[in-house]
Amino acid sequence: MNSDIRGVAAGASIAVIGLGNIGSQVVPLLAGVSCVSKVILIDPDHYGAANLGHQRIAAAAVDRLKVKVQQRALRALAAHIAVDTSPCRIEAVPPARLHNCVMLACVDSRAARQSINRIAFRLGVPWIDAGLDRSGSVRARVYLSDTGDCLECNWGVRDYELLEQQVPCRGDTAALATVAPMELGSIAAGLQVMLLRRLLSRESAESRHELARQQWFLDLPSGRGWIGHYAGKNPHCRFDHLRWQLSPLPRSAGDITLGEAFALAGMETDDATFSVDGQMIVRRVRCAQCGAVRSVGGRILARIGSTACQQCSRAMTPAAIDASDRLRRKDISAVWLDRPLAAFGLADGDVITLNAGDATVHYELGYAKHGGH
Amino acid sequence: MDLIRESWLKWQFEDGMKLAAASDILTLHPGPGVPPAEYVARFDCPTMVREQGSITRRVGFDMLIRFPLDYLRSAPNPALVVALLSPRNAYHPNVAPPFMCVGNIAPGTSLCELIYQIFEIMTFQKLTPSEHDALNKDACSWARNHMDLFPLTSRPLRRRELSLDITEIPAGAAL
Repeated sequence: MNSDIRGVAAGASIAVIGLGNIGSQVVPLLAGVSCVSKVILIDPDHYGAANLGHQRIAAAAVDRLKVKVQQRALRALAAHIAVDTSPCRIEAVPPARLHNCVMLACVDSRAARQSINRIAFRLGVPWIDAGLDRSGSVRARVYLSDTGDCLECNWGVRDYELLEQQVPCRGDTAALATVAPMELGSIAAGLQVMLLRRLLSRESAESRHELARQQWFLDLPSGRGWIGHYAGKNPHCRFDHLRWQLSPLPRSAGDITLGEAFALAGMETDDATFSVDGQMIVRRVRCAQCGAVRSVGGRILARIGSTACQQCSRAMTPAAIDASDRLRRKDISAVWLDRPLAAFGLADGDVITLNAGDATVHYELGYAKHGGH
Repeated sequence: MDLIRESWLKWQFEDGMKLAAASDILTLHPGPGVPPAEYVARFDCPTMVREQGSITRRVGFDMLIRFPLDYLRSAPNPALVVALLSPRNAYHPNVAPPFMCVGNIAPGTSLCELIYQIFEIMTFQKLTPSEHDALNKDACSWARNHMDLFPLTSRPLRRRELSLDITEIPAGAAL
């Protein structure tokens, strides 16, 4: 078995990201996949009244966290499956907690798909994308990191331009909800779980790779369906496709300081750097409306918590002068070097990267505590 | 470093320095690292500031331009790419120092494109006319009533080149 699928098929762990139209219909289908032993549900939102009739929920689910509603539904269908929940965006989930999972992407945002793709390739785990649009087309595809091509291998300039942005003068510009009919979500969920079954049942790496080169596409208005074939990795892809070689660190994020992490890696030189993949380390957030400034003391962006301005309740955001994507050791104060990694917003299952010259170490925090890989 | 990012940063450095060399307005100070991933851009041209209640012209402003590690792939928040360092009392509909709204920045937008965008905003060649989208609503209303003042400069960022044929006239020759 190749590394992508090792440890998955025997007692499969599945992460379902997004519990809207597609995700709410994937969850009950997982109860019927015999080798699934654990499901991790990830979504930051609550169900709203507008979701009734578009997502597989009852009226009682309105105003409740999506992950809790679906956890309860899955437990009722399959008591033998362990169900964990993460009521947050995928970017905020400690990535090593998704090790050995097959990730099912049921999201309607390009940025979220891009994050799932990045995490899956870093960890070397498979992910299955499913999508739909209101006009009636549905598609699904498996991605394997060792097959080569990733989501972004097939992106052009326009795809990057369409990524959601939060510009300071307009506040949050989240992706617009697809609001597609539920039957389309049902078909997409069915395709996604069908691909999951095929992925888990294939014995040879070659047959899995063949599966990963295909995109299944159904166009319901025209009654046509086809399977697209992809050639492989695009040498001009903007994503580096690098896979982490994780070094397990049995100490919890609260039990090791930043200075100790540098020492452990043998990187105590001035040019050594500390970073967290896909995250900025933020010192302050500001309100673009009233000018209020609040110190957050060097937390990673995804874990700042509430950013509502206390004066005008607008969301506060860091400016370029308030955040860095890596900290150079010589620029880090003694106070910060003595802080536990938990004070930076890190948790067990997070992966920190230390670099000095050509040497790079990726530590998986709290390896024993979060279950490790 | 990822090779695609490294070659892109080299290209930005070369193009940025060429632009600065061809400009009477722009001075570009690269940050640490080879190739650099951040710059301080100094513009010697007028912008507007609010000082002791009055709105006046002031020459010169400084911007930080920083390319995060994932910049070629994602730029979820343009405020993490450009920041106004000075003047802290800049007065413009798109500016609430250190924030500047340059609109959507597609991942991989070049250094020179950002420099042009910043120059056009700060010299009032570009502004948001609607309070709804403005970072500084007072400045928006003020700017709408003073459109005759703009743009604040007609000098181009890149100096215009003239192609002249020069003929040397020997001393004492009749003209």
